Amino acid sequence: MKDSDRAERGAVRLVDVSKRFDQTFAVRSFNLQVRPGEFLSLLGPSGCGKTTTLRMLSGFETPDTGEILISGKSVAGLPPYKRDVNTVFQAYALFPHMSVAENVSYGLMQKHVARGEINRRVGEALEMVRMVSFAKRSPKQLSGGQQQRVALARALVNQPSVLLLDEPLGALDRKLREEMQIELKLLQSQLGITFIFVTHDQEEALSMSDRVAVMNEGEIVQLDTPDTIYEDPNSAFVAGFIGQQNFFNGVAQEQGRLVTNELVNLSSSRKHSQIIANESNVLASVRPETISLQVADNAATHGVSLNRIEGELASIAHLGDSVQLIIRVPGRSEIISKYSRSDAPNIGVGTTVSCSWSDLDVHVYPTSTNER
Amino acid sequence: MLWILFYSFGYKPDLYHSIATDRLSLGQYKLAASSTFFQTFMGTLRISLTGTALCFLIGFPFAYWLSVRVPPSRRPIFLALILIPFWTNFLVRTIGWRILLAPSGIFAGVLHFLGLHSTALEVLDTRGAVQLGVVYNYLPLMILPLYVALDRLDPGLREASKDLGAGRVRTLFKVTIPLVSPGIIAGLLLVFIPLSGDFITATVLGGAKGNMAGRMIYDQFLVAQNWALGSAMAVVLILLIAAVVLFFGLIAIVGRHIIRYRRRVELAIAV
Ligand SMILES: Nc1ncnc2c1ncn2[C@@H]1O[C@H](COP(=O)(O)OP(=O)(O)O)[C@@H](O)[C@H]1O
Ligand SMILES: [Mg+2]
Repeated sequence: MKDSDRAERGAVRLVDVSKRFDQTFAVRSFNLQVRPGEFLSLLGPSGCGKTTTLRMLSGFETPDTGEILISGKSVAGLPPYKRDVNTVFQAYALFPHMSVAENVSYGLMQKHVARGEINRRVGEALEMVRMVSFAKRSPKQLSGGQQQRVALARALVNQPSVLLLDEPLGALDRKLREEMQIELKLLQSQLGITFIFVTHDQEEALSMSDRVAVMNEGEIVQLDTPDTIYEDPNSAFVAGFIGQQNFFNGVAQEQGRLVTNELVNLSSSRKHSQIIANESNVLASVRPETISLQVADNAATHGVSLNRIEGELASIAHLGDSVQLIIRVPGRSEIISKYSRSDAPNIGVGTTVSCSWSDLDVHVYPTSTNER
Repeated sequence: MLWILFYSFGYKPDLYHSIATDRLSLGQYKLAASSTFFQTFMGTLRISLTGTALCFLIGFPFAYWLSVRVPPSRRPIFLALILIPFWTNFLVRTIGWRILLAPSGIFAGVLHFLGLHSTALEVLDTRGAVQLGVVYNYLPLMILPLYVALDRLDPGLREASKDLGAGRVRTLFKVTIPLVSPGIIAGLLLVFIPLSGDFITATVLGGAKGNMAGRMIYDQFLVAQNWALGSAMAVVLILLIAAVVLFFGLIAIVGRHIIRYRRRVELAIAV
């Protein structure tokens, strides 16, 4: 933390930034510190203010209140073309009347870099994204992934202190997207440039980032490493947004160490992120991969049991490296269980199974009104 | 068209016939290019070129403003306003200007009221009046293609340009204008070509001083009944228009190559 307090190239700070369109907040009391060379993702559902945040950094929107500092200096009043940041736009926005090389050279031309150096740096940038052989083509003749690479080269060739990426992989198909994720991450660690990466895809954010800021309705709800975000979501919103969850409504007992409802009781040995009052309504969550299945014995106990619920195995889906099992439980929505392929239990569809989990894997959140 | 070309080599046999083509010659062209008529041709070109330029200088900023600054919901209002004059007859709205510009008309009144002009307004029947009428009559033909082209331009491209360090002016010249150039060319041609042949605007607002080639040709056909000379003049006018268009077209092509050459990138790495 101390590092980022120093004014350093590539550090980004947003202090209490708010932006309203008409009467509604697009971004609200936004506080964020990005360290130099960090790969930080803004993750959240569509319309939560990610693009607006990015546009305030690049200078295309002006915050109503608050302050933005890039490399330690306030950028208030600086137009986009005077900021030491570059953007990779969602739709790439390549200039259709210029060749690939000319597109990449555009930023350097604006800075009146000498022609020899432009030629060299454009070549290097195209080499970096493996597009040298396409230098003379028109952007219209390129595939989506190739255009994406050119857009990246066009931004990086300027050696900005911060690179902003607005859902850059959103338009690519899955396989290409996964390849580009790896490439982007490698590039970023090689170059050491601060990346602020906007996405609504939680897998993408978790797999690429040093830290993830989960946003909802214009605010950051959690800012943590991908690991912590996944393992320890601080609210039901984050828990539901990141990965799959099995949610259980219930009433809290023992400050949230026990959650009861008419079908099942859940005990939790985790530290809660919020204080939970007895007898308050809560939401308990259990990840699919922590739920294990056994064939239920016939002399089933019909009462309410602890960390265990019975149902009928309704479907088995093979997802490549994992297997997802859906269990239908009378009186509530389905329960999802996930196993890695090699560990999947050999149970047929239609069997009555009992799902169980450990109290280490139960998270408890107060029920708030703004949940999905 | 071919008849006109053919007639232009004929002659006017006597007072009572409009055309004879038993002897073909270039005589009518000599006449058409003689100094009196030549002056009219040059005057016409000058009015058309200035008119086209003025239409562009007014039309482009307006179309830009409309497509960039005005929210989409309010654009139809402005487009309708531009088109309202087109609902009335060309002649009628030009005559309308006569009323406005009359020595004691509304403009004179306003200028007088503002203290800018005290004596009677003497705009009417001058080249200035013709120029004004021309801009008014042809501006929509410039604005519409420009607006369509600008409206289709992805605003993200302008942002990308600014993001890469280009200011407003550079963005205008390096991204916006090159990308809307088909619209610009369409607008220029749409104004220049009909304007060069226009005789109503000049006749109504210019009086004797606003004599334009279109009017001259009209006179030869319908007043002097000299179809041969009229045809020759028409051919000269068409050739002149073609020459001007070609001239500017060449300049545009050369300019484009120069721009291409200046922004070229030669990679040091072997491709
Ligand atoms: N230019 C604008 N005018 C009015 N409302 C806007 C504008 N830009 C964004 N908004 C609103 O602000 C909110 C946040 O938008 P945005 O930042 O684009 O979200 P995201 O990128 O996370 O999907 C949305 O409700 C959107 O409708
Ligand atoms: Mg967005």
